[in-house]
Amino acid sequence: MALKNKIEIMILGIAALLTFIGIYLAFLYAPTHVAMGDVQRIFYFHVASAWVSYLAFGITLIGSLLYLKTKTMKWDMLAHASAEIGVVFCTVAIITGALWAKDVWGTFWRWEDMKLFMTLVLWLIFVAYLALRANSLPGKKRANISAVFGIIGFLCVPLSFAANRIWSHFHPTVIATSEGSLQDSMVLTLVVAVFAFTFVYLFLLKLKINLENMRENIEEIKQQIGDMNG
Amino acid sequence: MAELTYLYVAYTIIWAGSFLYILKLHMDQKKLKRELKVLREVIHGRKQRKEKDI
Repeated sequence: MALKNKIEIMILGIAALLTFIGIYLAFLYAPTHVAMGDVQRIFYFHVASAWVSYLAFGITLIGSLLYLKTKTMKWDMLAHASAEIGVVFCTVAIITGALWAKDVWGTFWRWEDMKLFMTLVLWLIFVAYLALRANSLPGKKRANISAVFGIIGFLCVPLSFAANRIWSHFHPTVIATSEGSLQDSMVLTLVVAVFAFTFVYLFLLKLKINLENMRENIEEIKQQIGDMNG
Repeated sequence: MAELTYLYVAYTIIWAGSFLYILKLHMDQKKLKRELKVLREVIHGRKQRKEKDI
């Protein structure tokens, strides 16, 4: 078996193992929250999804910067692959957050909460990024525009992350000091969930990059066939 | 009871979302592999025909 496949299987194995442990901890080990009840258990994988989306958009930023510096298409490919996965996890974070909010706040959404608003803006920017790529021809021009879009889009990540600290609205702060801090068992569950989804992200990124490489190979072969015909 | 409903719906969305995305990537991979195989066969066939002609 090729080393590449071995690494892929290893990442998948770790992701699956940590996910099972995470689910066990979230449902059976972590205590029920005194104020929120069982619905608070959404929080472990909701936070993990949000973390992965920030990480994914961060990798998009790095890929975009490296593309602009080197003009090598593999960095554009990395930025695109990561952005797509980021959008998937951001969607999951927004929907699970809304479900939690419905039970705790009595409404799915609060427009006045800046954390929610900035996360929605972040999601919209990267959906637009993917739409832009899907509707333009592959090549350097698309890669240049995407890279600039990816860099500007990432500016929303720190705003989304820090919104509840800056404006202190309704959204709870996860990494809090003193009175707002979590119990040790909750922190452990959260850490496992975050690691689990980080490995899921790595596996998906590898899969997506393989796909993009295959697409590139297909384009090259089509070009060769075209040259033969010509 | 309502809070358990939201909890289960949330976890269903998390896993269904992840699973569907992996499935989509897997299906894309299968489709591209098929396309790549066909294109390689085409190019191989053309090369052989060219060699025969020469």
